Amino acid sequence: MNRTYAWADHRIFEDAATPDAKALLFGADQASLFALDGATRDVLSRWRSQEAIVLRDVPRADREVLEALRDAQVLVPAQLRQRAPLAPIDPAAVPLATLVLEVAQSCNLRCSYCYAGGGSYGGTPRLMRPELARRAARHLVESSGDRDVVTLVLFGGEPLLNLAALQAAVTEAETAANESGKRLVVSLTTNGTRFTRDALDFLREHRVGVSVSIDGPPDVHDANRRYARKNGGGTYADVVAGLKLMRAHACRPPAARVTLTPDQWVRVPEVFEHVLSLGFLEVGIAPASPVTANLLPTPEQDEALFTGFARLAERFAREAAQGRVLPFSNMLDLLARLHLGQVKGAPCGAGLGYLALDAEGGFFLCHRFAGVERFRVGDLDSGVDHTKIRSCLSAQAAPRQEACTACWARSLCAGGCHYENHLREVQLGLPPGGSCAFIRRWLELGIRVYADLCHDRDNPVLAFLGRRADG
Amino acid sequence: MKNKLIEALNEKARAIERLAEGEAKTAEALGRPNMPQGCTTIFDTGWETNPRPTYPIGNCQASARDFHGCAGDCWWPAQVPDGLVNHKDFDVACPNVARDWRNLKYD
Amino acid sequence: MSWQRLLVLALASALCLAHVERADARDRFYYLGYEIIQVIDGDSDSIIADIPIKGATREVGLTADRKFLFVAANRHLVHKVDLGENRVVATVDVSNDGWDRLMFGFVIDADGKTGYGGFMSRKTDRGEVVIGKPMVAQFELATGKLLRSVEVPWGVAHLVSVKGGGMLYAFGKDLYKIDTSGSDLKIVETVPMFDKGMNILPFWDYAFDNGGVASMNYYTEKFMGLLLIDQRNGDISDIVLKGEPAMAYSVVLAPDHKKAYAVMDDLTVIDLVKKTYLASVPIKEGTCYGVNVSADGTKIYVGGGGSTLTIFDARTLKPMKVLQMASDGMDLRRIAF
Repeated sequence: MNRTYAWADHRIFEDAATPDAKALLFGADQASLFALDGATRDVLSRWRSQEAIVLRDVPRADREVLEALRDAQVLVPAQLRQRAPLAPIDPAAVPLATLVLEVAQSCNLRCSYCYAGGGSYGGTPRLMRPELARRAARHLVESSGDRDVVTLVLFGGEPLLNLAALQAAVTEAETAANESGKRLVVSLTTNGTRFTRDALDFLREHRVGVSVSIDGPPDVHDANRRYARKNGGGTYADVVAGLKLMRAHACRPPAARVTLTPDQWVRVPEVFEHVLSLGFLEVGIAPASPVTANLLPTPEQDEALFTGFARLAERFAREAAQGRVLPFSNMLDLLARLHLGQVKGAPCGAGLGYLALDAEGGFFLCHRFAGVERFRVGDLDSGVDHTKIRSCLSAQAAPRQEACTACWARSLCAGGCHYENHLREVQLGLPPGGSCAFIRRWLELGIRVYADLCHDRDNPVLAFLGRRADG
Repeated sequence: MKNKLIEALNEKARAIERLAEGEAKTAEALGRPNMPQGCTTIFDTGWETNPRPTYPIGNCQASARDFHGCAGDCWWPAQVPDGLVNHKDFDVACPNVARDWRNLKYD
Repeated sequence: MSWQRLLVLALASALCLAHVERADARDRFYYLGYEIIQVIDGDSDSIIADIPIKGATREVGLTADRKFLFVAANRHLVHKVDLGENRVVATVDVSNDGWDRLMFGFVIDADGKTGYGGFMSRKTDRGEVVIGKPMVAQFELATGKLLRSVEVPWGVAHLVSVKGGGMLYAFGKDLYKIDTSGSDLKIVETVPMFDKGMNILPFWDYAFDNGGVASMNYYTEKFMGLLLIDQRNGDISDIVLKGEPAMAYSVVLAPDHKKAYAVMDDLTVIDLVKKTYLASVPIKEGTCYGVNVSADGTKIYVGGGGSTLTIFDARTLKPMKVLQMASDGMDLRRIAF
């Protein structure tokens, strides 16, 4: 009781619309989320400017609230407040969980926003040899330590351009996984224009999870996703035909990956609705990475993107109130993490259990960095270079260390996509932090949606999130 | 001890709440006496620090008086050689601690 | 039950107990130390024998014929000490059949064939630690082999045998009464202690020294109390003492059971009838765990903790003699021959 307490980093979200509603309190260190009633909120706001609080000296009326805040670890012993920064995760200590294989550094499309330089990631188009694919698959299992599950991702370019290597990788991974008593998960990301019967049969038999890249109604999609040949036309019709083929081959419904350029961001809700109506299991929407300066958004476009996401969030909430899950991947992933209160030690798994392998057998920090020499982290012959991974990750973290430490959203963001940061800061010469405001707004949106869900503890959507979080 | 003032929403918050409940329970049972309630709460020799105005006034009892009894059954394992796993018989070198503690040699 | 009835019962059971003391019986005090037990003659108050013994000695069990003292050491060894020859004649290890065990609490059956202990146990299985459930178990004193067991919540620190071994009182978070008379050990009653805020460190109970009454002190937020357990019938007297609590590790009863002596940094005299503290003197040598009293009640022996044994005059509470012992000690027991 004599102890001195200090405020742990936290953020309060009020409900401007209904002032009587409970306020939300997000614990920044722990990703803990609480709801406060009005009286509690008032006490908190009166004491918040106090740097040191001795509970014993607090007047009775307020003490109960402050003690509750202490129990919630919003008030913490003062000496704990200055925590030493966490040591970075040691890449050598994290067994491999996921390996992305660029089975084809080649593509039949030339999407305008492609970060893979038209599929080849710079350099000539090439396909991974099946033998290398097998070696890669084996490497995944052998490097997975005591993990029960390993994930193989078939990527490119367009992976279906290299069915031989794809099949080799999957069958080898299955064998190796069986031998080690591990479960194998395989996913494929495709542009949807190269489904053959053989390919679909294989995908179905080996239970490959398929993600199809599609950007919305025909005009939105065809604006950016066109065939590689000279005067190549839009691919929308063929993608839809490909989806029909999938259905005909009794494949599981795929997930949709939408990429939109800033000029299209104003159409987010319409795009979502359209893609969902095509029968996808889930729809994820990604703003195109600024691979070139012309892909950098204006503030108006940024606002349009946020508004679009906010409308989808509202729709999500409406569905959730009926106990239904709107399959908006972005929201589901965020809500699952919020549900657990998962604190990110790193912005993503790149280099920490997640690696990409290019068609020649070179390891890269992640699939987006394939072909970027600075982020080559070893190869199949000489193994993964953990020292290089460490230096890549610390170089990525350094420019934003101070800003992240001060940001309430650090446990949910942890610095953002390495590739995005690289594009903006290294390639386009922008100062760090350009996406921070947007990210914070999006995370706040997720927090409010989640808090809303919690009004009904029996909502099946909460149970769904729990299952999704468990993986 | 349900916290009505603050409602835990996500799993993390609930886990924190449970921690607090667990701690509160222990705190209630032991109360706030003006005497030590047992060595295991204190990883610090010198709990014998005498707050009472009787002998030895104001001083720590030589922790040697309590050493084997307190350490041997792991009351404050931080101050002594690991008697559970690595140095199970360290007390053989100094069964009379006040006299023989210099026999303990750990590099 | 009223105090008077307790006294009558205590005296009656003292008379009935197998190890009734002859008028000319001599006291021997057993200083339980580390790697050694030293025997003190109660007349001359001098050390008359050293019994080398492996380990840190803890609980003891005396056979009914007073020929053997079983001594638990290092929380997993049980030594059989021949009290005529003053030497260890056998040792068993309760860590066996793959398990690492720590025994807290130890009593024996009067015939010296089996004993009971509170056990925490662990083993490793392919590099992973496996923690056994906390239990009270009966084991063969000759082999250390566990016979039957019952799981106890959270584990126990101390055992008291009552009703001729037919029941065990196990002190853990609460007091668990364990019936040993059936084919299995069974907890038949739980007496709450934790929820009543009773904080107890029950290692030294002086059951046979007190003539069949185990005496243990406990603390609440407000007072110190004494639990007196009559081993004959299992009755528990809870004596709440008035006044500022004395600080004590252990408490022994004076032969007339009207007074008790408590010890930690001070030697404190307790009036069991009035339930108050009578007097208190500091122990110059420092904190002590163990306290005992001569059969005629004239001398109080205090030791354990450090390596000294101090003998006080019970009437004046003046220290008469200090013995320097070979090792630090834990407990101090009295056996009359």
